[in-house]
Parts: sequence; structure tokens; C-alpha cells
Amino acid sequence: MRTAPPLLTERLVLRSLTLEDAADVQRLAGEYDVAATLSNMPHPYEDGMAEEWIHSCYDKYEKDESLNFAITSRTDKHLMGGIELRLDRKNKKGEIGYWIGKLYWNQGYATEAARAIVLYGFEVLKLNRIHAKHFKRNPASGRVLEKIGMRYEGCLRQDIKKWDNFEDSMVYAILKADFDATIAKKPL
Amino acid sequence: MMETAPTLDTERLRLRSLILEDAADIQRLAGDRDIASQMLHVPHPYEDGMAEEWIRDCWQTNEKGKTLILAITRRTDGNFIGIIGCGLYREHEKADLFYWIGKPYWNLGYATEAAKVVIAYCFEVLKLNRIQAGRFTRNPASGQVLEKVGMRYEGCHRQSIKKWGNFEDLMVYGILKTDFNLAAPNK
Repeated sequence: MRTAPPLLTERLVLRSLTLEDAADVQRLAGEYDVAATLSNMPHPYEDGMAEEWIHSCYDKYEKDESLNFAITSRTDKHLMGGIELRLDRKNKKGEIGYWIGKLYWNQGYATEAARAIVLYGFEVLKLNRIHAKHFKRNPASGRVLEKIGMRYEGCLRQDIKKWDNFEDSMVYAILKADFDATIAKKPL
Repeated sequence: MMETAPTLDTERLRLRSLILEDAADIQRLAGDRDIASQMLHVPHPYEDGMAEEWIRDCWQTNEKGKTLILAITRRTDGNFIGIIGCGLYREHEKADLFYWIGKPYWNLGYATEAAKVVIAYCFEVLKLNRIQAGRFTRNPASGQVLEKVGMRYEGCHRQSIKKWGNFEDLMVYGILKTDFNLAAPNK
């Protein structure tokens, strides 16, 4: 089975998911405050769902549709979250989505993980554009996206129906040209 | 032919299900470089057999409720003049609108007239909440149509689409059910 290569940052290892991660995924992604910020996270997160989702990640990697990584601590190996890069090869672009377990919020892990994915997307996968969307009511995610060099491109009003509410999506993106001009010159 | 889509009449137009007899018109009109260059998915050159295949795909996706794709015809002479359609995302109660009008029929307001009736159908019959559309930056005429039908500009997605070797900016527009209901009394 082919899986995405592990990516190392200062504090993190982003690696492909294994079935042994299922219990951690269920526990961390099952938290209401985590699920509430994501467009397609199931809630409640029931037994078996994590295994099924991990299998779907392998499948999407095989089909070149997306790369999914566990965000893990370099020191103690704990799983702290997940990050995905969805691919649109025809348009040479990707979309980043991520979540961090609540225990691990406010320590810059999302920024560190997303920066590594952007670098991988441009340098290895040769993408031209990487974008991300967050709910308007979750401005913390917008700050992460700005920190990794993305620019705000607009608000898609009532874009996503989440738990019976229509949520505005804030769209951010970084182009290869922006990346080459700025981000690539800074150390990870 | 499967009866999968509604027939929608406006003052000058009849929007109806595609039939295989439309294939030659589609190939001829959509085969024009000036049409294909504005669209995300129109092949160029438009070869024999492609239109029939596309019509059959439309029947299938219409049948499954994933799209609503209609032929635009003129009521006076029955001429086929273009295509209008939506990709439907039921989970989020929204749709992606797209259309093209054959070049001999440009600048007569047909796109606006067709888009208005499809938008009304999406909100009133399909009970959708949001309809969005994108256009290339180099095609401001389409932006005028989208604004005329009540859509609001929601941002520019830079270099979002690779078209014929170039990365094109996509200008995104949207209209909500609440916008539509507010505007409806003035129709």
C-alpha cells in the first residue's frame, strides 16, 4: 500500500495515518469544539467511523485525490490532529483542511503543519495554487492561514450547511509566485 | 428520451430537456473558440460524437439529481441557442450556475432571461438556499449578466483554473434565497 511520505518540522512529524490511530482520532476529533469548525466532520464520532475514514484516506491517496497526514509530536509521538491536502491536478491546485485536538490548541501546531504542507505542495507536488476555507465564526483559523502566507480572497455567503445553519466560508489562498517571493526564503 | 428536467418558459425563451437532435447545434455553436474559451469544461476542438456523449451524461446526472441542465431555445422559431445548467449540492442546498449562448445570439439579453428563470426555479421549486457562479476576469460581460440577475460579487480566486495552458482568475458571485425574496416584489 502506498502512503504519503512523512514530513518533519521543528516540533512535528506529519505522517500517514494507520488503523492504530483510530482511537485517538475518534477521541480528539469527536470533541464538539473541534467538529463544530469543520464542514464535514461527523458528530457524534461513533465507533468504526475513524477506521472507515482512515481507509478512505488510503483510497484517496491511491486515486491522487488527496493526501492525509496525522499531526504527531516529534518528542512523544502523540497524535495531536490531522491535516489534508486535496488535489486538483488539472488546475494544479490544492486545498488544505486541518484540525487540532483541543488539548493542543494555541501552541502554533496548525501553523507549523500547514506551512509544511504548503512547502510540500509547491516544491514536491509542483502545485500553482493552494487555498483553504474557514467558517467566518472561526477567525483563529484565518490567522493561521495568514501566518502561512495566504491572502484573503473573499467570503462565500452561506456556503456550507453545518448542523442546520448556513455558514459563511472565508477563502484564502497562496500562489506559487507569492511563495517563491516570500515564504521560501524563511526557514521552517 | 428520459423526461428528467422541467420545461421553463420565459417571455422569449423555452428551456427544455436536451434531446439527441441538439447535438449538431451544440457542436456547431459551442465549437466556436469564443464560447469554449469562456467555459471550464467545453472541449476544443469540439469533435464529432462529443455532443451526443455529453447529452447522455447530462441525462444521467439530471436523473440522479446532481445537475439541472437544459437547452435554451427561442420560442418564435424553436432555434436551439445555448445551454444553461446547475451543478446541485443538496447537502448544502446550493447550486453552481453556468451557461453559454451561441455567438449569433449574443447581446440580446438571452443569458440574463434564462438565468433568471433557472434561479427562480432553484429557489422556489428546488428550495435551494444559495446559487453561485464563476467567470474569468477577462469576461466582464458575464459579470454583468450575473449582477443583472441579482448576484453579488464575492471575491476573486486567483489563478484558480488552468485553461489552455494559462492560469485564470475566477471571479465568484452568489445569490441567497433571502436576496431573491427581497428582490422578488420588484419583478
